[in-house]
Amino acid sequence: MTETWSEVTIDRLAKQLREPGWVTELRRTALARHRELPWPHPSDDVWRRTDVSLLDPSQGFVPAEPKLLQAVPLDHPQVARSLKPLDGEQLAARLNGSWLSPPALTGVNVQELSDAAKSSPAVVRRLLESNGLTDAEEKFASLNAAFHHDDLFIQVPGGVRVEQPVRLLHLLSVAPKQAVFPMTIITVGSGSSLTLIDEYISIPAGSSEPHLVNSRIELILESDATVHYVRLQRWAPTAREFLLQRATLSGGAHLTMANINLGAALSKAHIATRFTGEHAESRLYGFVFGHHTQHIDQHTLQDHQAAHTFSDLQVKAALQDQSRMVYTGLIRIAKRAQHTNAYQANHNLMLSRDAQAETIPMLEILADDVQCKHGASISPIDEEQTFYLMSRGVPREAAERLVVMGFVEPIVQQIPFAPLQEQLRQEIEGSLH
Amino acid sequence: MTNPSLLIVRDLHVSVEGKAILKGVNLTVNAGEVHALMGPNGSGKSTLSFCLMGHPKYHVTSGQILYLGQDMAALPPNERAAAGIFLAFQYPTAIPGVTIANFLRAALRGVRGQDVPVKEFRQIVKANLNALGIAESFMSRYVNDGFSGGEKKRLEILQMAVLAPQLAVLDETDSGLDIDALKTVAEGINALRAPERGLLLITHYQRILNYLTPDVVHVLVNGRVARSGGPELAHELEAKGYETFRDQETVTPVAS
Ligand SMILES: Nc1ncnc2c1ncn2[C@@H]1O[C@H](COP(=O)(O)OP(=O)(O)OP(=O)(O)O)[C@@H](O)[C@H]1O
Ligand SMILES: [Mg+2]
Repeated sequence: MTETWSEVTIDRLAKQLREPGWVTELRRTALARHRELPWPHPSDDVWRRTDVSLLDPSQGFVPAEPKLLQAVPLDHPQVARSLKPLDGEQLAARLNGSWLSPPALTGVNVQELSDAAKSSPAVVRRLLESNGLTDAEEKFASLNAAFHHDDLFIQVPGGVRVEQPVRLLHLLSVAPKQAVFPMTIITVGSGSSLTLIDEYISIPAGSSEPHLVNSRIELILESDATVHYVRLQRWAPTAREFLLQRATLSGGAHLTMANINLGAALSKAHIATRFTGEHAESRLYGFVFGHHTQHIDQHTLQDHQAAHTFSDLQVKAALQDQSRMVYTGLIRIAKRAQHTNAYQANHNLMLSRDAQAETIPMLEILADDVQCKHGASISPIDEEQTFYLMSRGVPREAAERLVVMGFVEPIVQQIPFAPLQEQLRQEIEGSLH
Repeated sequence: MTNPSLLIVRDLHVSVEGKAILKGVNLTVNAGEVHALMGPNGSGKSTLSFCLMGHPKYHVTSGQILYLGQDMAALPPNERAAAGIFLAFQYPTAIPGVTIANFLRAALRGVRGQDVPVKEFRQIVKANLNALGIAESFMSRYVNDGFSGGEKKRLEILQMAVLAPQLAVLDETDSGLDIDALKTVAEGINALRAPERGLLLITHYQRILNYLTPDVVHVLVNGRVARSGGPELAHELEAKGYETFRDQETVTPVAS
């Protein structure tokens, strides 16, 4: 079985993608690294609440290179909805690693990684080689580095304001037990601005067998860039996900990010923001909608390496049925990062007695002149709020629905695009029961 | 044929978290009447108002609440609202993330038992906002979230005006209002007066009663109506306070 996840697979991928030899070399290095790294230690607080062996591709998963993927039924309701461009957006849709139609985006260069590796080798190499991960993170991220496909390189050159929001739709049609390794790299040049909606959907070929998604997203903001980034995670209910999502902010860059988690049976996401230049600011918002027996484990890192930086993070989860949410959030402030403000909040709204949540803040603060606050809560719907609404004639179920939607609303408000806000409200409300 | 009284509270005993608060309250409000309910802090006025609305924390241990002749015991709060009861809260609850517009729409739908056409809803809201001197931008704020005391009270009155209840219980809606706001609120309440409607006004002050002359004034002390009388009773209380009632209470033998 381990043969499946070997150099043989890498060579086959390299051939299909027609990538330069040095990219393939990096894949081999990553695989070697994966082999030598230990699995996360059972005492590691960031990992121990999730059975990570479920994310190991060598546990019976097979590669799903572009050619092996199934055809997607484009009239599938979820696919059809996502394929309809929203008012005012530029939509670029991919299906199983190819464009559904050639992307025509104003102000944005989009290339497949193998092409970008040929046209801008230095930039791509630097990105692929960048690390800064813990060993445990790298254990999983190295698999993506070895087997990535459906990989995109998105670039906004310096000094360009992209006015219209861009939505990138990644549709993956997977057979049971397949593993996919998407990678999306986004670089936004100095002084440029971009609103990007990054939407991921998997459509399984009817079976309750799991499929595996190991994805990587890198956002690079050069100095004074302004980015609104929205990730819409709509993996199928049979999906297991490992996600490494990182943003690196140079001086004066502003990032507003909203991560909306709607799908997957199991999700282990590491979401990191690094501040490498002064006066960089980020606002990170996350919403997790847990249902059925979903297990969602999110780790965030606010990594302040430069002075005068600012981060605000708010992760909210609404949990129904037997879903389970684990949140660990680390704020790290380096000694040189004086005059930094960092805030973190994690709020869990329990919609069922059988749902579970755990929240663990972590602080590593080496600078002394900083402001840092964190807060967390795990609570059911407030009875006084329900009573107030009911006293106005609203039946209990509708009252609770209103309270839940009110809980989500501040996150939805962070999506810089009204038609998508409305779509999400309807979608979330429609899945409440 | 005589219509049943709008509200009859009969020997009502209520406890909260195992503690007896109301100890045999009797009260009748007929259609067309305004009743004032006064009494010292902690005497149980808000408790009574919550019971009328069906708050799940307040347990009726004995006695009855009859609204238009119907026993309310089994009715959840939303059905009481649909039947025509309204409570303006002393301390209205904030519901972050829910706009007043969405909230009122849901309320009107609940009370009517069917959806309200958007156009009609807009008309109703607009007319009431104008009458109460509230800016339309208010509608996109979140319910009571970050509201000043006065704004909360105005929102309660706006809701009452939109829902047009048959029995309105106003729990200290006059507290914390400046003089102009008090006048607007009083006008809002007056606008709703009608022969088939009734009003129970919980208050500590005479000043609102200058605008809304009560037919009956009740004094609630230690979970019981200690005295009922005409509007002059409110003046008497304003002048003398509750001292005389407290004395009466202390001589009442209490089982320990
Ligand atoms: N939810 C509750 N939990 C515990 N005690 C309560 C609760 N609600 C009311 N009480 C108690 O019941 C008593 C009566 O309270 P209530 O709020 O009804 O008084 P009130 O007459 O409205 O007073 P005020 O004039 O100060 O508004 C008080 O002693 C109060 O502490
Ligand atoms: Mg009170």
